[in-house]
Amino acid sequence: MSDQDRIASGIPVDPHAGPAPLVLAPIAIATAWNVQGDPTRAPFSDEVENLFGVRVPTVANTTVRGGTLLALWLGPRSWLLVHAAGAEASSSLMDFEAKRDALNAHGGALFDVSASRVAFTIRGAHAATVLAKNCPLDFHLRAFPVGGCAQSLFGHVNALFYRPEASSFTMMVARSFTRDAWDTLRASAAQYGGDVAPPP
Amino acid sequence: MLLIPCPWCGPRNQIEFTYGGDATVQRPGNDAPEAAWEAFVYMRDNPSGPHDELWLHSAGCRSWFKLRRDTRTHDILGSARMGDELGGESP
Ligand SMILES: [Zn+2]
Repeated sequence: MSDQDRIASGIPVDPHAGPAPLVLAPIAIATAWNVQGDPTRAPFSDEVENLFGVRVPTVANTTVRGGTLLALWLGPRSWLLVHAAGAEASSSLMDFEAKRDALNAHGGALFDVSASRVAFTIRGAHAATVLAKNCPLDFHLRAFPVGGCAQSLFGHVNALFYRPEASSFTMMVARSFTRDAWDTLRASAAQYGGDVAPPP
Repeated sequence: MLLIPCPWCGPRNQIEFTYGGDATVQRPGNDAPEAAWEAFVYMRDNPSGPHDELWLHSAGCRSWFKLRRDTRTHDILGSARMGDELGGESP
């Protein structure tokens, strides 16, 4: 980030903050597929495991990881399978149409929503505080444990949160709200300084 | 501001939810007289006290569920998944 960008971003640099007290950056999502179906029906949940190598989580607001694939609980009959960009190509998120047809045959549905969301990483000691400024979720580890996910609002934008580590969050919003979410995030983070990637 | 217990997600802030009206209204049969349909579509009680309601966790898990709320105090008396019964005393 150039000095000009940093000034324009309004993020002050705190010389006492130490290494990366707060990191805000966009993350590329390679693939995101939405799986829908009734998890209490064995043909559906078995076929999901057969196709993707993971059993989708049935406990609300939890995730299951299988290799480079992350399955996030979105609702009692809806999950998001995410494969981050740059991860190994051995991902099971390939051959969409064949998998969609296989899942259809077992009472499920599959949608390719790879282009629908953008993701941001919010990392550092102040990560939860920055999110809490614009989100009503309880980010205490008791209420939002590592590996958990939750959907809520960020400002007035619907957002999906995932917590890979205690002081690290991934936030996903609809692509058309990228600038809105990014500007809100940047303003919330301003008082903490830190590393801010250029706007996506 | 209400703290609403989604039966799937647990207690969440009211701004994540959308109100869906009286949960006790029964849809009339297809051959019911016009007056029954008019009552179904338009007529609602305005109770002072516990009220069974439908709510949608619109910014969360997108699930509809039942909530029993006291219209005088905003006390939340219980919530249940669709298909399950609200516990406690009936209003
Ligand atoms: Zn919910």
